[in-house]
This record gives sequence, structure tokens and C-alpha cells, in this order.
Amino acid sequence: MRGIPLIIHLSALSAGLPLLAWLARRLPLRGHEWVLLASALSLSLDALGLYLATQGRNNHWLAYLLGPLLFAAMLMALAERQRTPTARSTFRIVVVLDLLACLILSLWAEDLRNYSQFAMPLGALLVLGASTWTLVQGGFGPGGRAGAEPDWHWVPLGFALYSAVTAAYFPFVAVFMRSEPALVGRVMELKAVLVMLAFALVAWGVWCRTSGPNSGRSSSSSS
Amino acid sequence: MPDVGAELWPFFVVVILTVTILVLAVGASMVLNRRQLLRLQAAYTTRLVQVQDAERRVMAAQVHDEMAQRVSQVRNELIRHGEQADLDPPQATVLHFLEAELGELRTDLRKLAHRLHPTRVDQAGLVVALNGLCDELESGGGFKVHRHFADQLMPVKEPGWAIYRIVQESLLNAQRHGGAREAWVTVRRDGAQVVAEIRDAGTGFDTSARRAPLESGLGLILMRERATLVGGRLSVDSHPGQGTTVRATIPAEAPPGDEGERVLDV
Repeated sequence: MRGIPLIIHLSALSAGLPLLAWLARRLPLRGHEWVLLASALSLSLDALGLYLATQGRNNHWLAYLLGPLLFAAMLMALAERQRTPTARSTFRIVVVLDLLACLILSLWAEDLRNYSQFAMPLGALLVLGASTWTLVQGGFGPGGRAGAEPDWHWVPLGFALYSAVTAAYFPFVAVFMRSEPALVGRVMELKAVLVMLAFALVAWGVWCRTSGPNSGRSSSSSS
Repeated sequence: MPDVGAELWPFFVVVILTVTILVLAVGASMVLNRRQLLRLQAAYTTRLVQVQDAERRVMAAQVHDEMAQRVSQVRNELIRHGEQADLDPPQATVLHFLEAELGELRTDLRKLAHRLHPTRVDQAGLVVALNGLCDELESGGGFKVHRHFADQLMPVKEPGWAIYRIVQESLLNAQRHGGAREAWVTVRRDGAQVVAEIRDAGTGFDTSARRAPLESGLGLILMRERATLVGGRLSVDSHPGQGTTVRATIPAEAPPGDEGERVLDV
């Protein structure tokens, strides 16, 4: 599996942008821990996947191992940005149910040597729903933007884009992998570009946040 | 052309799973948050009762030990002055009037102190305190309390205070809110517990209604909380037009870890 396009490598590395943003700004860990964990997991998943691919070895099992954890970290990051205790606890319960569902699906319904048909799309759809809810609540809900941190929309937006791309990618591959492999290759490159954009948005959200979530303090940094 | 329908059925399953997970999570979260809210509410009510009791103890001490004492001292000085001075009849009449008024003021202050905090329970026992309470309520006229108190009640401090307060609150509710002219109070020992039952022939109320009259609703909540605080329970049975029965079952001994005198931590 040599000759992997450069864009795929860049996409894998883009997962480290939020980590770089945090290091560069020397921000406190509190308020960023789940975003940074998601970033680290995605970086690990893609980097290890690329390495195994260059060695000609199957790398699909990585998605079943690290994918649910990645989506769990994203959901926890979104939970920290909710304004009500009910919403926060809902997100945390979703994490538990998602991990349980992914485990069951991986053991009984998935082919671990092939693209995921259940577990990864499930995690992606849940993160997409959670991100969309966070954006709608932040933008239009009661007390939406007032008193919000400047990054209230960047991180959820980045997660929404990432999860939307992921949720669409797996079914597409399932349908066209055998009949249109060249098309699937192009779609992979498009996915890579969108994932880079997604992590750039998340990194910007980390960069412009100056205090912990739900701290109530306004930020002087520009968004 | 690939069979899109056949290839996409897992995605439809995933969509259904997603919706199911979200619905389950929302439902579970609402249940958990409601339980936490109820716990916070119960904790708040407990704290309210504790703070109220502590404040009343302080006020009762000030009224009884300071104000009533000062009134006694002024009255005694007045009596001594009256005995020593050579007063004409009009002056003596005024003096006697002032002595009587101060005497009544002192009695009223002591009653107020006892109403604020039932020190009589500790000083003279629960039966004496309850009899004093019933006599006080009857003294205004138009209200009769039929009472039956067992001889050997002997609950320790906080259970005794709780029973006194519950009987007090129930009788006051019967007078103020129920418009009752008669009430029946029974306090007896049942093994390790003291059972107090207060029944009135007032207007009663619908216990299943969402909103009781504000004051009596709050009074019932506080009574229930007082019973719970000392490890007991309280039940209220009432129907419109059929009066109200309040039954409290209180352990005669204070709950474990309780040192009797509650310390208010600020």
C-alpha cells in the first residue's frame, strides 16, 4: 500500500493542531482536556493506521479499538460546553451507551479486518447530533451567546464537520469500494481535506479560549 | 451498479440505534436530575428546619433570660418602692396597676419564650409542656382541646421537641386554617416509640390537591421534616369538610450520632 497521497499524511498530522495550539498558548489543562485527548487519539489512530498501511498490514482493527474512544472524548468535550446539568448528564450517558454499543457491535456484527459498518458510523452520528445541538443551543437557545466563551462555536463546529464526514464516508465506502475503487480513492482525499479543516477549526477554538468552560468569565481574546 | 439498498441497510440500522441511544440518554438524564433535585430540596428543607430551630432557641433564651428577667427586676423594684414609700391612695392605685401590668408582661414574655422553644419539655417533661400548650390555646376562648397523655412518655431532648412542635403546629393549624373549635390530642407510648395523634373537627382540606394553602402547606412540610430529622414519620389524613388527623410516630430515643443539643455550624 505504497504511494499513499501526501494529503492523507497531512490529514493524519492535522489532528495534532489542537495540541500545538494548546502548547503554543501555554493554556491551563482544565477546559481543554477532552479536546486534547480527542486530538491525541485521532493522531494516534491515523498515524498508526498509516504506518500499518505502509507495511502492507491490515489497519482496520485500529478503528474499532480507538474510534469509540475518540468519539467518547469528543462527546465529553461537548458535555463540558453544555449550559444545563440535564444536557451535561445526557451527553455523559450517551458516552456510556455508545461505548457499550460499539463493543457489542464490534464483537458480534463487524468484520474487524474491514471497514466499519456499524460502530464508527454510530459514534460519528452521535457526535454529529451532539455538536449540532451544542451549536443550536449556543446560537439560538436561551442565554445563548451572552456570557459565552469566544470558542463556543469553533470546537463544536470542528467536531460536527469531522463527524459528518466520518458518518458519510463509511456507508459510501461500503457501497462503492468494490465497484468504484478509484472514486473511493478520490473521496478519501476529499475526506482528508475536510478533516484537516475540521481540526483547524478545533485548534482555533483551543487557541482563542482563555478560561475553563462554564466559568462565566468573558474573554478579551478575539475570535 | 451496486445494490445501494442492500449495501446501506447497516446505515439505517445505525440511524435507528443513534436515535434509540439519544432517547434513552435523555430519559435517564431527566430521571437522574429529578432525583438530585428532590435530594437538594430535602436537604434544603432539613437545613431550613435546623436554622429555624437554632434561631428560635437563641431568641427564646434572650426573651426568657434577658427581657423577662429585666421586667421582673423592674417590677420587684416597683414593689419595694411601694412598700417603702408613703404613697397616697391614688399613687398606690397607679403603683398596683403598674405592678400588675409588669407581671402580665413578664408572663407573656415567658409564654413567648416557651412558644419559640419548648424548654418546658426539658425542664418539666413532655406531658407538662403539652398540657401547658393546650391550656394556653384554650385560654383565648372558643377552642377546646380534649387531651389524653400517657404517664410515662420520657422522650429525650430532640424527639421531645419534635413531638411538642408537631402538636403545637397541628393545633395552631386547626385554629387558624381549619376554623376548628375542638381538637383531640393523644400522645402515648408504643414500645420504643411515641405516637402523637392530633384530630380536629375543622374544615379539612384535599391532601391530593397540588397546592395547599401556602402557610399550612409549609407548616406540614416542616412538621414532616421535624419527624424525619429524629428518625420518625408523619402522616396527614384530611378531607374537605371532615377535619384533619395528623399522626406522628417518633422514636423515644434520639437517632445514633445525635448528641442531643444540636450545634449550628455556620
